[in-house]
Amino acid sequence: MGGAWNDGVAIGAVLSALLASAGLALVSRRATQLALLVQAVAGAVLAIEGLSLAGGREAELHVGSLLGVLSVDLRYDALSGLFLIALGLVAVSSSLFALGHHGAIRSRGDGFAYAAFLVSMAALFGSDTAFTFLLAWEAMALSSAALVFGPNPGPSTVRAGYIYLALTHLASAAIVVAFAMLAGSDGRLDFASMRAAAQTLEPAARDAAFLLLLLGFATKAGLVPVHVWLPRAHPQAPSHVSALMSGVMVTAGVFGVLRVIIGVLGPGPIWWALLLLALGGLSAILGALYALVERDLKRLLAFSTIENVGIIFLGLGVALIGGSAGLPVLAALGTGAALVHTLNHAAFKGLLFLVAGSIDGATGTRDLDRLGGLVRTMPWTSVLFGVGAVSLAGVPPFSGFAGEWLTFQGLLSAGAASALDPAARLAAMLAVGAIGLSAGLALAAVVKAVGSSLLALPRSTGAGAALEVGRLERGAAAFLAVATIAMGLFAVPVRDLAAAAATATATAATASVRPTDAAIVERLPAGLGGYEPLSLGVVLFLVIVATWAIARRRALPARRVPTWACGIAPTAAHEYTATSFDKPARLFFEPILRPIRSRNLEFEPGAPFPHRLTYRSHVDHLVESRIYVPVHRATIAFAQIARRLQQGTLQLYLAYTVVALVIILIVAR
Amino acid sequence: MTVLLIVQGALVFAGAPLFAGISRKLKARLQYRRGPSIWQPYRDLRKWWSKNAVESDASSPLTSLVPVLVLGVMAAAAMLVPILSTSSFAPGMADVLVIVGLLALARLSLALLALDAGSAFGGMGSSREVAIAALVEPGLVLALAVAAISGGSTDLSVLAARGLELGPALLGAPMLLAAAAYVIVAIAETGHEPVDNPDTHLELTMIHEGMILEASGRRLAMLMYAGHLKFVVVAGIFMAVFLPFGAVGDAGATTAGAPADNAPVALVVAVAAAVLKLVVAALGLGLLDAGLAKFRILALPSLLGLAAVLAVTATAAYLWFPT
Repeated sequence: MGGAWNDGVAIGAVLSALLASAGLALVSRRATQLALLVQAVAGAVLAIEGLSLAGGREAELHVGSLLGVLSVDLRYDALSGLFLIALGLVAVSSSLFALGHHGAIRSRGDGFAYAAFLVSMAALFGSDTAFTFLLAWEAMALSSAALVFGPNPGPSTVRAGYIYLALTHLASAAIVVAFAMLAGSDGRLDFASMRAAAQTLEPAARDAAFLLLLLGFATKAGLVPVHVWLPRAHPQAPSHVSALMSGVMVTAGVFGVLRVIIGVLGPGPIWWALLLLALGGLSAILGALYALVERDLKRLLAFSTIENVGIIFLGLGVALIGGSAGLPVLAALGTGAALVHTLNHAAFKGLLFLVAGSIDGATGTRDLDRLGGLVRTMPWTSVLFGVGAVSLAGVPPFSGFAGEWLTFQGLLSAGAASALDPAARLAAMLAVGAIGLSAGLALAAVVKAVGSSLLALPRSTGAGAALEVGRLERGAAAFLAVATIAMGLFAVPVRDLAAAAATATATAATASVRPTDAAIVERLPAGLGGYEPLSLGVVLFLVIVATWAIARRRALPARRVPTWACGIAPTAAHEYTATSFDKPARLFFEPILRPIRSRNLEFEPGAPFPHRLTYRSHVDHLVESRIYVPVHRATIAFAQIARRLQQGTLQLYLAYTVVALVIILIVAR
Repeated sequence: MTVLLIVQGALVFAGAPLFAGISRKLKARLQYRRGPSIWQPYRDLRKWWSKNAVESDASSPLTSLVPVLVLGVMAAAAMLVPILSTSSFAPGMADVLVIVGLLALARLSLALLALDAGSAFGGMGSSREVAIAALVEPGLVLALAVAAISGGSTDLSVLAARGLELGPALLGAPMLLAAAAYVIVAIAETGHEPVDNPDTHLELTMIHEGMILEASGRRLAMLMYAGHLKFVVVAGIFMAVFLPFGAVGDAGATTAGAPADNAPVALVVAVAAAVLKLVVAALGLGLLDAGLAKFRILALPSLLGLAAVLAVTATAAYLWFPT
């Protein structure tokens, strides 16, 4: 118990320090620097606290009462702990990065919003009542929106910001309605009472609450088809904020599913699980596909976030399958997979966004077609980029693979579970194929991003004149790089770290847990296979070193000559650009991407060769053009009709009132 | 078991180039050419090994690092696959998803190497390779998933042991369909017709050759040797999952019913069976190379989609009609 008290004090101190740093950021630019230092330290403490909580300790905090009625109640458990680790790790790096990167904090308001963003996420992961959850949720949405807008937003930023605000408020509205449904007759808003009330709800009402909650959480997580804000908003924010948004904020949706859908709503019918699998699979494939055909480095990373969130939701789907079928071991495996991938993704995606920020700052562009050759001018940044990239590509023994492997194992265990309906097992197997396809596409996207930004010759003057970034900036990214490599090699301890949270979640998700089942999930099951990245890493290391030792014996020196370009002097214009690189994929996935290409040649009169060539290519985003654009058009059209009612004359409005009264009298007769 | 592993290592690492030689020989004979000797791949490797490398002045250290990395990863993968028996060099590490992941790691490195020199040919090969690999992946994991859920494991050793136990009963309709799917993706994965032409040097069509166009000398030798090992890895997965017959089981006895004290006989049977399977696979690829024209690249989604559909059908067959 003494331990729990210490945890509570530590988290309370961190939250107070973060709040103080928000005030500090408002004072002056100089104080903002101090605030960033405070935030970095706070992040480190949060990560350490998260480790302690994930081991099974708990911490409670009750912060006063607002309006005399509602109090902010925080209760941190093992599940909160894992999300705090993700938040803490990324917060350390992004705060130090902001300190080192010129112009990262654009105004005092920016510094304030950044601090508020950190506080709201730290509070969200510990919220124990619906009120606290919504308060933190809204604060997180608004502070991040403020960071997306920035002090002097241009037209495209304003557009991205408004789309973000609209969708995030749609999400909040859905969650508020669902909470109201779950509050029960006595109106108590703490999660424990709500869970008791939820069990007495009628099935139809539970289904409705599930759909509303899923809409809210899927929007925040950036699942297709409610993802459209994510690739717009994430790249607009400064890179250290993008790192937090993509690495940690999207996982608020994952946290919501675990804490509210599983923790409060409890076990549900199998179609809940199948819906999660469908959304997860769709997001994994489309996210990776759009990442592959994207030219803007930060947008590419944002789409890849959609892919990874999709994979996390496949793990959550397995958890719900297990819960619905009364298989707590399967539920624990699915939850564990989701949590491990959440943690790993936070670290490597945070790292990649920071690196993208460094590249953007050093070259002045994020357009992959205009980068190239950075491995010579920015060697440290290139190495850091490489570390993030191999993790993102999902290859062993790096961290992205660990989460994907566990998710595979969860889905295969569901496929092998004879207690399940064959249709559900087939759905799990289709999801296996979906991860396969998305992993292949993600690898292609990684080759494209790394190859066209780091390798060969620079394709613009900005890329050619790039200088390596400062020590603090790359040190901040290096912290996450080291964490990423460690999380890849020590995937088994990371998995065990998630065991307590996964067990608790599995128990909450399962309708009837027999005591024997509860004992099984004390240590996370490994599914159908075995993957020990540390021993694999040792084997790989030894074999590669042996190969290297053999290859260097009596090796002749290499002769350096220009690249053969069929007889002409090679230039950067001969290179494959990022756009050329994804051409095969654009052709393969033509029915989905609907690529448009226009080429325009201008000739001087009488000249045989064109003096000017313009080329445009574009891919369609089906969800936007088929769902959002029609809805948008219909809304505008309806508004055009509706505004004819507004003529501004008093007599007309009185007439409306009379007509409405007559209709009500007829209906209510 | 130690003897088995030593023999397996010798077979895999010394024999890998031979299968490419056999495959090329058959192709040449079918084209009414005499063709080079089946030992030609060894001569090529020795020749490249002792030449000095020429590298682009636009290239980074990646150009010298990647060949070592690719060969090392492929050698590790080749050591993890059980071929002569149900065990591999590293017990408990023969997880098929991890081995597929190692193939992806090698592909990632090679695709980056291809972009390093800034040559358009490298970019062409690299971009096609990764796009085709993305289409290969679902069929590959789904075909293996069928075996994993029916065998209850993703570990190749466990799957091979179970296959030996079941005997021909292993190959029910679901496994046959999954095997067909695997064969299609294996052709694409090893770079043979109708997906890629292993002999072409015509820049508009080459994929794998395009990626290694800038490699030379010892580096080329390492990359080519890694390619030979890859054939054994991809075929070895197939053998462990779908066709383990002839391999030495856990107790040291073969399925033919040889007693456990008859280990030398079992070893000879296992070697003969493994060589036979690998030679048949090499001849099959040679036959395809000679008999099929390369598909238009736009037709590849249909071919590789077919593999995924076969694998899903296999899954459905297993789930609704388990034998």
